[in-house]
Amino acid sequence: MMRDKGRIYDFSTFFILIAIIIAFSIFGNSFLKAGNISNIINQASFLAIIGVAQLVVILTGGINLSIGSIMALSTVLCGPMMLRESTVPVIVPIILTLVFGSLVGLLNGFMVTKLNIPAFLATFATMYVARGAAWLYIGQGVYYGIKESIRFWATGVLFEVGGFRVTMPMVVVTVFLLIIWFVISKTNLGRRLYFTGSNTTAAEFSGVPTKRIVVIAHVLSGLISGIAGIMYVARINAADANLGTQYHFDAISVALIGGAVMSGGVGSIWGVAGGALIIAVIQSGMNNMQIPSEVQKAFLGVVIIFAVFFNNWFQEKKMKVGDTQPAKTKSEAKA
Amino acid sequence: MKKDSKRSLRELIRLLPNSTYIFVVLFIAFVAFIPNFGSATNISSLIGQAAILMILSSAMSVAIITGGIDLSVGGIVSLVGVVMAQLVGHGMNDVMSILLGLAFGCLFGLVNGIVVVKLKVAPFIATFGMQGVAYGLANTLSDSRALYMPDEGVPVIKALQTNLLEWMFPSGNILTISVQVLITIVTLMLLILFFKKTVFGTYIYALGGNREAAKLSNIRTDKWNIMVYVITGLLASVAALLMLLRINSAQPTSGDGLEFQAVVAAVLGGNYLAGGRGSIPGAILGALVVYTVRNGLSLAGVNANMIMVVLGIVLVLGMVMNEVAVRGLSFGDRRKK
Repeated sequence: MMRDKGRIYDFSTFFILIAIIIAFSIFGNSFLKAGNISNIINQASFLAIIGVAQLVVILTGGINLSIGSIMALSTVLCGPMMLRESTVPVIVPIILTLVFGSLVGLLNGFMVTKLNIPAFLATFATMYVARGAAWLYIGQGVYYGIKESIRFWATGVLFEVGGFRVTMPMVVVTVFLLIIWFVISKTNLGRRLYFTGSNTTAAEFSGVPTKRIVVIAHVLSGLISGIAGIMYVARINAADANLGTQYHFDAISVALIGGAVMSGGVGSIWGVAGGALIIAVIQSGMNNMQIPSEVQKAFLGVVIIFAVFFNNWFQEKKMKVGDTQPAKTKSEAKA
Repeated sequence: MKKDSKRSLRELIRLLPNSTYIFVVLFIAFVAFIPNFGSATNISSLIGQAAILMILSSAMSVAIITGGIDLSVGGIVSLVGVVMAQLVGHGMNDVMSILLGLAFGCLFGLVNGIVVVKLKVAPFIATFGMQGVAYGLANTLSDSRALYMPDEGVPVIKALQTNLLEWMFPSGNILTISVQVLITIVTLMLLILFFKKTVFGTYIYALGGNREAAKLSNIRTDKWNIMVYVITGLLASVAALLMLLRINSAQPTSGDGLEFQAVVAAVLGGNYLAGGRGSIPGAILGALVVYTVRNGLSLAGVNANMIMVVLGIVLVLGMVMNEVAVRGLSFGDRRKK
């Protein structure tokens, strides 16, 4: 019984999602049409990738503010090779983007573990350094006209069922989420990510190389940011240094609404998927109501604060449910 | 006797914040190698530009000493500037507008404090969210446009924009000291006095050093912690006023990235991020270092984006330096891990 009650908190993301969908379908009449739902899920697919990039770092108790900048830098560096007129095989720029993303992640991890800089400041510095480097490389220009074979991954439509379009991003992200889910919940590495975040000292004493795990988390985050970079570049058909100036904001909101706790050790891939859906629903609903993007950012700010608050609160509740159980049986026994 | 004085001098030098050396070395190097850097005109503009950051970095250092951080100062600069300009634009008396703007900044800081202390949200994420709120509000209130100051009906603002002193050198260089610099000096003096002469300073170090111990010593930690964010809000609003005076308009983007520079300046000033260590004068010198770097490099023709990259690297170096300084200080009771 008590365990079930604890589990309810795990599903809080989906309760919120349902509540928001109901609210928006009352206010906006075209909200629940198949086409709109398809758009929202498509949009959520992109958000889920940056949310996962954030999650892997938050799991270890850190944070990555440089996601947007990594996306911009890694894609801009490979921009010329992604252009239609380029003769380089498609796979080269894609792999290079992922490599560049991972390298920036490695730099973050190095600063956090070797130089003992708190993650949020190390990645805060990277946010400016990587963005500055991207600007330096490209200036105010834009690499426009991406190869169709890359664009297909982000814009392709597979088939349509009654107005609901199944798009490539949905498929890509489903596969991506399954892979990452497998990595972080079924492999040794994934469990160590959780362990490092929930209790670093205990992990250290149990022989987990916590510093290496933190570095790996940052590298993974950089790598996934690279993937996100390619997806976004393919969608907007251009690589430029201003890509994703606010995506660190989106990434944090997605991960937090997905139930990740800032101190680490708590959070799941499916939570992030739910968080991405919630943010996509909110954005779409607000766009329908013609609320300007600046107000939406203010709203996201409030959402982040309350998400942190509620996640901590839920976590405490959950602990309490776990803790009081033996105490209660004791008192029952006495009675 | 002689040995004693020598020793106290060494003590004094050891107590100086790191940023002093960096500033002195950089300054001499730039004067020597970059033409026009040492000219009176450039020095005046350097001081004028650094004034805003000095206030922000000392605000940041107050937050950092308590073990927190305030990433919303940039947002508050934009937001309060817009609020003041809108009030003036709607025909309000300029003194009243400035005062209301400052009060608004305090209120924003109060919300920061309540979120951090009462909702128990980690300071960097709380103020990070609030920065988004400030950005959104600033853009909404200004319709994402620049709001220019009217030419008439704002006697006080006009008075604050004048120069106190203009000194023409024979070479044609002009040394100017504006009222804005005076406001900065007065604000910083007040802050430092407040820090040294009231319990506030002691409490802030206590909060950052060992919060549990502070609580047990009957310090109302929650109240003082909220107070810290009110003060950073107020100081950021003063910075907003200076920005408004300097560019004679309020822009919803005027504070973008300022929080980053403020953190860089505070860290250079020896403010240790875990709290309990650091100083306001250090942060002020840190702000001077940041602007010396920016000004010097741009005079030398370095790309603005490159300067951003350099600042990021400077931030990392500063943090490493602080780490070394702290480890060096606690040499005797080094804890083994």
